[in-house]
Amino acid sequence: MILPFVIYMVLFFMFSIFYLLFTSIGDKKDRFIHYRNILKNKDFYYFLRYTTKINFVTIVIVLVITIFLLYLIYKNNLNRYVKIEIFNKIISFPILIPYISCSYGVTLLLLKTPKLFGINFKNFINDEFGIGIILAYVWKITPFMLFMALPTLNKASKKWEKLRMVYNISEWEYFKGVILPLVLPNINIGLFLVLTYLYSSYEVPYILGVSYPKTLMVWIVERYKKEFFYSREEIMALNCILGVISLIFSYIVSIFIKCILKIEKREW
Amino acid sequence: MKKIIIFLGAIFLFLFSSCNNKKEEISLYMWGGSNEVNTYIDKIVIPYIYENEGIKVKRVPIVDIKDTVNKLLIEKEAGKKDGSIDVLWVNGENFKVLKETGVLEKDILSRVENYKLLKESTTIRDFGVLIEGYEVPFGEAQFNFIYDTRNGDVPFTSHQTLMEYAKNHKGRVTYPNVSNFTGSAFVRNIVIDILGYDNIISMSDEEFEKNLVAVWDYFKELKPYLWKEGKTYPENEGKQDLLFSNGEIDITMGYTINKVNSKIASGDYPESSKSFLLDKGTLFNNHYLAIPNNSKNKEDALKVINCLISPKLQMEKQKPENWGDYSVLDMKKLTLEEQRKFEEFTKSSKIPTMVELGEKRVMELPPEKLVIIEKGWVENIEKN
Repeated sequence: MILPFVIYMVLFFMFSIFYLLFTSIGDKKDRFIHYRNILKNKDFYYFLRYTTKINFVTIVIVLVITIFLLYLIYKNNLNRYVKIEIFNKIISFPILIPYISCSYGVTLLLLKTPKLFGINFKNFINDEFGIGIILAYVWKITPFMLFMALPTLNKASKKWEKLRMVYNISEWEYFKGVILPLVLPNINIGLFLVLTYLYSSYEVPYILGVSYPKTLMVWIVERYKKEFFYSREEIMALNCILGVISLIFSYIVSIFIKCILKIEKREW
Repeated sequence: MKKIIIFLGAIFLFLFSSCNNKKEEISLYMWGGSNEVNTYIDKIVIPYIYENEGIKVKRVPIVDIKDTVNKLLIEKEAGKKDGSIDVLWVNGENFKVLKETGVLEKDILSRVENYKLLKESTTIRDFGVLIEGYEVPFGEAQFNFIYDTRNGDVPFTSHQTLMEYAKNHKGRVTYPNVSNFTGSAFVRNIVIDILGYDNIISMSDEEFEKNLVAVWDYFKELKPYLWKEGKTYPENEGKQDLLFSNGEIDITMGYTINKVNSKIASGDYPESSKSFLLDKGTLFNNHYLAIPNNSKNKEDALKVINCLISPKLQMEKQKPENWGDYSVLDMKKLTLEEQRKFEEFTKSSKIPTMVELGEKRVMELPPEKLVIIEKGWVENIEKN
């Protein structure tokens, strides 16, 4: 049963990775020249800093909103303010919208929103701080994170609710002390996936970002589109570097959350 | 037993006959970023060719023609004989690469029956590169600007008046990023307006780079008066149009002469929109159709191209409600009835007259000069 899957993976997936690696290394005359060129390029570091800043601000906001919404969902599970089906539909809607449509949607929304409290929302389109990009990311990613955590939350909130009452623990204390440590491993996996994705995301920063600086992926795709097949070795090297960077940063975040979990457990 | 034999025989005959009648689909690789173009191909071209030639055409939309160019280069490297592309829509730098790498079918121009009806001028050079029968002209394009007449008269007619307009209407002017085809064309047009077409053509690449300093000074002066103070540029023509239709900016642009009529018809632009040209002229070029030499069905591909340049489909293409792209046919070679019909499409108060279009046009620069301009813009304008 597993053989067709393995053949498929080796043929189409692993082959592409090996092809990418071998192309990026360059010819015999000067091995790794493309990697050296990239690491000497000032734009690379500038774009890396810009990309990382946007990605980390995004995941921090997503994390805060996700935890806040999980608390609301938990409260709703106990008190049934809103039907769960309606809630599920609302949060699953952004997942169904492709990133490119989401980006144009955010652009139109910001263009049409009138000034509120002296804030001109038009300024967030193609702004140099990447606010438009972060808004689009948060709108798309938060529901995904919620879906990662919801099964555990629903199970835990039902299972030990009576115990909470016996010990007379407040809903917030119970959420913080019991539910959150239980859902954090799921959120951790979600953040790992999201962060690796954000480094390779193209449509949102392309549509909502500024011309300069640009995210690393926009830089790669623009160069990829401009250059022909035989001059793409450096782009392949850039892809490899970006892949490694995204894994390193995602791993660091993952370790960081695991550390928090350990501290939480000790308290518990 | 008898019944089984008859049944099997019937299946065999059915399969055999259907195999014989089955014609290969012709794949038409085209940039898929325009609703008007896509609808024209899907609703008019494909049914017409099927009815008249019995050939099924499949439009393959692509984000960037460079992807298709790369696909052909990879197929050549891999020695693939039966390629998946039958006809592709191409011009300029991409044609140059395809021609130089030898992946295009030779002499297709003379093998297309309707080639006798084409304007001869369209069959010689593509962005300065000799065509030599490797492509067949498909349409004519001229860069033009669009404004809303409710905001006043024509905003500018030269690079000097553009500067004045931008200074008097801060934040109301912009152009797409040079990484985009339209943005690149705009910058090229301003380069020609400042340095002069004939001067540029006579310059070596080194001389051209030195002379471009004056152009970069011009763009640096313009930058703070642009939309978002020139800190960013719309990523493509679509975004430029979106900003224009939402009243964020005063001017948009494009390479299709009838763009303004098509966009008014689709409700994207206000009824009061109108297009205009620069006094010294705007860029003019042709776009073409080519056949890769590893196409599986070259004969049918030629028939498809023949239909695409036929008076009927060229006329449909020029209708503003379809695509609005100008024809490559020589009017003198058409019947009086056909000439009259074509003339009707050019009568529009929204676009410059045929005489004005003819007078105010400059030819495209060779691909080498184009690369120098794009690199120079990124280094001098985008990064500063």
